[in-house]
Amino acid sequence: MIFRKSITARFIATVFVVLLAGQILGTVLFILNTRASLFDSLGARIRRISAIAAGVSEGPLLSYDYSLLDTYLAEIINDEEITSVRVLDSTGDMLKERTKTGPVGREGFNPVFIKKTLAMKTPVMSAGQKIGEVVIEYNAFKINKDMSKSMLVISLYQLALLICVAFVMILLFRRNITNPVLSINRAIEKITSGDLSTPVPDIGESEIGVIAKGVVFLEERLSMIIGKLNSTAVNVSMATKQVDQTYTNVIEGITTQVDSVNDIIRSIENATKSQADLGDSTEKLLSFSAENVASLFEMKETSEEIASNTERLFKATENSYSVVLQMNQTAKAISDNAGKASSAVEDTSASVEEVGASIREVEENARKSSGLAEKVQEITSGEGMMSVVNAVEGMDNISEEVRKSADIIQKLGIRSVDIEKVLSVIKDVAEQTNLLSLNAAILAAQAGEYGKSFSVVADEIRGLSERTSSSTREIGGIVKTIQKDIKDAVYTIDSAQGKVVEGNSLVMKVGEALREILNASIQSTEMTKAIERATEEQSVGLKQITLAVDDIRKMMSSVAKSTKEQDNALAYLLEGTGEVKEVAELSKRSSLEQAEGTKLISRNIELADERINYINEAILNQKELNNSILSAMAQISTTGTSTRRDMEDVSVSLKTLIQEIEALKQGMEVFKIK
Amino acid sequence: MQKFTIFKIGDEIFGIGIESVVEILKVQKIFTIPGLPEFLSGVMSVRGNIVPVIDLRRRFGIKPSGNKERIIIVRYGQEKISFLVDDIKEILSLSPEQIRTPPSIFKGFKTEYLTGLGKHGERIIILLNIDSLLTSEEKIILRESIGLLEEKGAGAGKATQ
Repeated sequence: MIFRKSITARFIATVFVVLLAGQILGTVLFILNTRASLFDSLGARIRRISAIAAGVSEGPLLSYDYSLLDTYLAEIINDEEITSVRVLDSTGDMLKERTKTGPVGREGFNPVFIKKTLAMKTPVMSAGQKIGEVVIEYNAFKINKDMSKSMLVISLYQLALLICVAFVMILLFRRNITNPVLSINRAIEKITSGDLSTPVPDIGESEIGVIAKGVVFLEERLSMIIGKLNSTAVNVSMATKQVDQTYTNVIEGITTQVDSVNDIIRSIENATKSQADLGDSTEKLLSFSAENVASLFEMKETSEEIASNTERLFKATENSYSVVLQMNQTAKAISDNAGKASSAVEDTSASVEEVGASIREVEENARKSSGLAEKVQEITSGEGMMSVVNAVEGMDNISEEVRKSADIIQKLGIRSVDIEKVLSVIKDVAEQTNLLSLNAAILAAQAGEYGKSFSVVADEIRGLSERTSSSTREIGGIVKTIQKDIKDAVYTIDSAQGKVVEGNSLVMKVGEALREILNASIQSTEMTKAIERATEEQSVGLKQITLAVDDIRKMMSSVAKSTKEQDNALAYLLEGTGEVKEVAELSKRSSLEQAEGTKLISRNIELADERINYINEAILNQKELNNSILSAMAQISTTGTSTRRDMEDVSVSLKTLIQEIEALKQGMEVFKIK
Repeated sequence: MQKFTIFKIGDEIFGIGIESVVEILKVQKIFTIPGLPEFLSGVMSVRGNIVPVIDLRRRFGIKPSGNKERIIIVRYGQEKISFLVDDIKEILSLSPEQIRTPPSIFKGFKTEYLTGLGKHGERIIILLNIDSLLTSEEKIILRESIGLLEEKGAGAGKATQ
């Protein structure tokens, strides 16, 4: 198969056949020509021998002495080619004959052209008259034999010569054509398999040399393009890795941000819980103080009742006094009035007892109130303040974290600008690659059969560059989304910061309010103490009143007794009534004082209530703000999560891009370049 | 099978036989020189050689898409000239069955501008006969202009040396 395909073998075989045919034709012509001339010379020789024989025969024919003729004929018959010789007389009778005995020799090669036996007749002339005839018969066996021999020898020589020529031709072919072509072929095979560093042998200016130069040129152009592609691929790979690194940083940043936001949310939730506790305490305090106020009102009313009773008593006493002055005229009226007074005293006594009960109640309430105030103090100075401190700390944390988030997002923005720059580099590189691959495809198409394998590579590279382009566009879109998200996040964070500042000031206000509550509750404690003192005083006063009322009752009974002995006891009655007046005045004064004190307490409690309501309001405001901060934070967290998702998308796209570039690089690794 | 370099002008798809294409380039700076004929947009320098530029969009009266611009350098007889087009897409092989003789006027292009219409999938590709793009008069002017420019270029080269 290989032999049949080889141009050399075909060429040499053709030359060989042509030469062989020529040689055969030449040999045949030569043989024919040589044999003709040999035949001619044989004819001439036989003619000469015949002429000599005729000359020699003349004498014997005339003298009839044939002895000499015999000898001569024997001599003639010795000739190799002559088979017989006869001498005939003029009538044709045979005078002498000599014939060759033994084998005449085999017939040689190709006897067709020559008769087997030839005869030559020569007349014997004497004085112009034919006196006899010499007939010589001969054959051409020797010529044929010689010819056969020489033909064989010539054929052998020519065969040897042809073999030599063929050998020399093969050597020349191998040196001048087959070897250079094979070396170019080897180079092309290596180039096709991708080894572009293969040296192409330099083969002079011959036709094969021109092909070699063409291959060198093709190899150089391919090397150049592959080199450019390689460096492009490395650039793209580096750029993409940078982008990937940037994105890893960005994702880390976002994760930190989301964590920070979650911390903030936890802090805010803690603060909200503390505030809710404070609110509960305040509510409790408020309900207690309401109870207090109710008790105080009751007490005030009782005191006022006492005061009015005392007033009535006082008036009754005054009346009694004036009546006593007119005792004489109106003893009956006195008795009536005494009865009235007595019932008033009874009333007063009952009222006093009521007052006593009220005072005990007040005492109880004051104690309770004191306990509550202490509890409020405890709560405000302990839990409350702690809550405020926690809230302030939480707010500070929030503020810090929000600032951090803002920083991270700012960085993110800068990173995304970096990414945009890198993307534009990648876009340029991809475009350049696309152009290179198109040019390579054109070169490959123009190189025809040799460029076929390279055109596949060029196509592959073009596909890769297009995919890179589309990936880059996709990433660009995602980066735009991220930038928008970042803008949203920055806006959200700004509003969150505003809310944090608002929250901070509210917390401060809560702190102030708490301090005021503390002050109020301290005041309230003091008031309660004052109430306690006042009630103690009232108790003392009441005892005095009770004693006085008892005295009055006693006096009244004595008055009642004395009315019967009016005359005797008039002076005594006057005295007694004066004392009653004094005691009643005292009682009235202390009742008024008590009412005054109660009013003060009630005012203080109202003040405390107002404060507590203010605190409650502040706490509600705070709660609302916390809720809005929480929602802002949740928004930040959502934005962060969506940004992270976007980033992860970008990361996936980048991974794909890197894979594609790696594939491109692997595709390129097939090529070795000088 | 015949290979074509496929490019776009506006929404139309064109093809030029690959054998006449030398190179594809990004758009470079195009110089306008006073006295240049109307059908030339200018000249540009490609690796030291001066190549005249023909804006095919202007030539065909098609609005540029505006996204991209590319240069195709082609052999034009002995010379090289370049065409300004919108975008170069790919190298495409078309079998003789895919190539049809165009109607006398296709989308306003004279038949003499076309060697045929290639059908590749849904796309109709206008195969340009770049030889008939210019009138014989324009060809003469082009050759003269190139001669003149080369002289100028050579003169300028000497002057700078």
